[in-house]
Amino acid sequence: MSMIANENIVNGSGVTIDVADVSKWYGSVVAVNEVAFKVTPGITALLGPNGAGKTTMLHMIAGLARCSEGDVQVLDEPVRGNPGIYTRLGFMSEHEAVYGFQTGRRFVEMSAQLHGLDAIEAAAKKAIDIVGLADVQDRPLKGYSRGMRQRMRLAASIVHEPQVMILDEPLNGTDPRQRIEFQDVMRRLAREGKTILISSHILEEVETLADRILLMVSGKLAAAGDFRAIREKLDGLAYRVRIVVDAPRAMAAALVAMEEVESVGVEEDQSLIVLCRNVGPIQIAIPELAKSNGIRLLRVEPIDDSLEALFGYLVDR
Amino acid sequence: MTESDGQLFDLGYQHYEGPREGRMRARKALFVNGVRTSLGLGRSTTAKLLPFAFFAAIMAPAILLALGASTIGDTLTPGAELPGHADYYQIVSLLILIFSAIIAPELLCSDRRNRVLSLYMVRPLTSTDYVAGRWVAFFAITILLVYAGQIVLLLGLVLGADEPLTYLKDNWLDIPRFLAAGAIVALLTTTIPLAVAGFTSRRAIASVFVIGLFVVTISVANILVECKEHDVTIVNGQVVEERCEPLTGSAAKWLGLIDIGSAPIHLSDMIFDKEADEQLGIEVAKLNNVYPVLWYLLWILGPGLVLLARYRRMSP
Amino acid sequence: MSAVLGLSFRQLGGRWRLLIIFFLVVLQISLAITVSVLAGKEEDFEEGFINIMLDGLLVGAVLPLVTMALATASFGNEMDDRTLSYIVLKPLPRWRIALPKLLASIIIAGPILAVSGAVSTVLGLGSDVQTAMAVGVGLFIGVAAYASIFTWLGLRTTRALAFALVYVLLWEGLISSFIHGVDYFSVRGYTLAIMHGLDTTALAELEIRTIEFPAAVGGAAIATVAFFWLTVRRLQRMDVP
Repeated sequence: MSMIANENIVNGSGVTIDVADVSKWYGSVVAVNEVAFKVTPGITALLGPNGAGKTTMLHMIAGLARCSEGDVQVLDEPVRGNPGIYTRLGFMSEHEAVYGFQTGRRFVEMSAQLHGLDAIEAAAKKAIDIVGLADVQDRPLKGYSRGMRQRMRLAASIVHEPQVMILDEPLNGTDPRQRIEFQDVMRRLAREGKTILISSHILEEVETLADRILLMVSGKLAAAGDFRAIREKLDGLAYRVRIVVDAPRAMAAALVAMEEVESVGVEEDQSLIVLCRNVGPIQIAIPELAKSNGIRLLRVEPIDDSLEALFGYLVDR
Repeated sequence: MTESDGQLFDLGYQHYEGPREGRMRARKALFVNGVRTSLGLGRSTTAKLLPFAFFAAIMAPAILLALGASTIGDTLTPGAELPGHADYYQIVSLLILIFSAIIAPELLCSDRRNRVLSLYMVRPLTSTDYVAGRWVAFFAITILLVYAGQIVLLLGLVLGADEPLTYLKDNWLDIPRFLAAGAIVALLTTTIPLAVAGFTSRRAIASVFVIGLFVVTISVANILVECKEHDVTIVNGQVVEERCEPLTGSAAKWLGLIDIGSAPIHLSDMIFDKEADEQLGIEVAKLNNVYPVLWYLLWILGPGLVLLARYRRMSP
Repeated sequence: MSAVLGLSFRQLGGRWRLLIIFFLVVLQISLAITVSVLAGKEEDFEEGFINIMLDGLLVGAVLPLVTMALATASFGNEMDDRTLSYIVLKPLPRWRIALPKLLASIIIAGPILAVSGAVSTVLGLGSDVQTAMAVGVGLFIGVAAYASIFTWLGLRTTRALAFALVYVLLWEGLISSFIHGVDYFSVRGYTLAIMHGLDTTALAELEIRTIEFPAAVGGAAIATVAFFWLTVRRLQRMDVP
């Protein structure tokens, strides 16, 4: 059984975030265990179950926490003890707390001011427009709903148009429509050549949004890269395909005869679940088999060709 | 062949089949939780540090006095007395005060700050139960603290006396006295800080406010009862007569009551039938006994009722 | 930097806080007037006033408590609320974050306490400008030193107020009354000594219990700078929640 090793991901121009054998421990608890990866421009998602060390990892990348071992470099500069890096680095933490007494506009403007931007109001206006909160910007933050707060916080972390953005669970508390808008924003920024590292629980969105994933389990990096490529490398995980036909047992017999098929199961609703190593040959073979046996093919559906299946498999291993 | 029956056990979600106890149980659990929070049990070592440090600090005078009583008690000149039960509360009052100002707010403020009150309220507990539970928990701890010292002192005095049993027989009245006086001190130092804590969700503010309240009132009261004229008559090297004309004249005995922190001490002095030796105490002693008692009760019932009302009207 | 300063003012200058500070100031001044009216003519009035009003109430209680309530909250609020990352993740050298936080409490507490002290000295003792200035300056320096220590405490620990109270009440209060040497390590000692040093004649009463003037000035300066430096260092090295 092969496993994805911590290999270079070269897919774009140059490495923007370089995490080199980073570990972090608190007393005898190891939160992050010898993790190494490189991130390039585009959208990268950091996934993992709760307690996997994602937030700790992001804090270290943003320079907020010290690495017990190892080193993090962003844009070829160290992050720790280097406040200057923050002109090109934006971070949105997992804490949703804000200064309740400030208006949304003031919150973003303050961020712009502290970044030393010249045109504070213009930059703030642009950021607030991007997140779509221009009509509520003059209300105090304590009156915002959770989703609105998240978006305003996002505006504050991108107001200085950083090259690298690190967002810890930015979609928390947002409704589906806001999430779609958010995805558009992220894609646009990625097209402009920015590097975006998002940590998220919502696998469906990550699937559509991220070019690459980093999967952390129990403080270690379990997988990195394009998730379909990862899947292919996991020999131990068979693909499952659901087939609905009008003559299930005949189809099952025909499928079992194929070498690539590991097993065929008949479900209660008479659909077939086929386990195979390689989806490609199966997908070509199925219509031919159906035709040559006079069976009507109603439905062919790979049922775990998803990030969720991969996630589940890797996490539970 | 024996017949064996196989059994299959459901390892899934287990229902609770035991007895479901009611309000009393909830109250008891709340009390225990209050005690554990105050003492920092179940949390890191640093959380335990403060309560136990205070415990040691409050016991220290008791231990010292106990040792002193047993070693040098007989060698003192007549008329001079080592501080005993009657003086203990005055000595430790500052420490007890700081202890309650720092720890009491933790019982109420944290729950409000973290917005977990609603978790309590969905149990068979009313808001009165909640406040009362917290109050009783803190009172219990303070009383324990206060009595522990007195008991150590008692042991020291008894064992250090030439005739322990005689000492006990002669002085047994001290025991109910210090029990009563201790309760009086504990009632005040429990109620006022908790009442203040009910109005803010930041512990720090509550602590500073309580300390400020007591410290400022002590200073103000002392200033107002200061002697403006002080005549001391000395005959043969001994102070025979002292006359002090306070700043505020005859109003001084009333103004002395401003020192809220000493309210329980005045009562303690009354219980022990002790003569006050400080200017403030002397002034207040001139009042009819009723007034300090009423004043004390005001500062117990007032904040207590305010605290109850506050929680009854609070929405979690 | 002015952004952080403005933010801190807004955070610290809550309505209730300011009200209480105002109340304490009014109390101080009215007490001074009352006392002076009632006993101004007595012979040892001056010494009593200085000992109890100035040393006991103002320097011993009001000064540390007010400064404590403000300074521990400077960073304390950010740590509690987890909003520290908003000001720390900016391309500012750490001292430009620590300094406005420190200055905010000094600017709020300093002038108010200094002026109220000066005024109550004038009204209470009937003293001249020099004495009033001595009291005011001493108080202001006391605010600066306390604020520096308490700001650092607020950043360093969640129990900042407990430590601050223990320091003020037990170390500076109780223990220093037994061991005189403690005054060399106490902001209260510095404050009193500076007041005395600036006006030795009118405030001669303080002489018995104060340390030397140069030592006090040096001590206050060192305390203020050292704890500010510790705050900056902590910001650089800490893990931000």
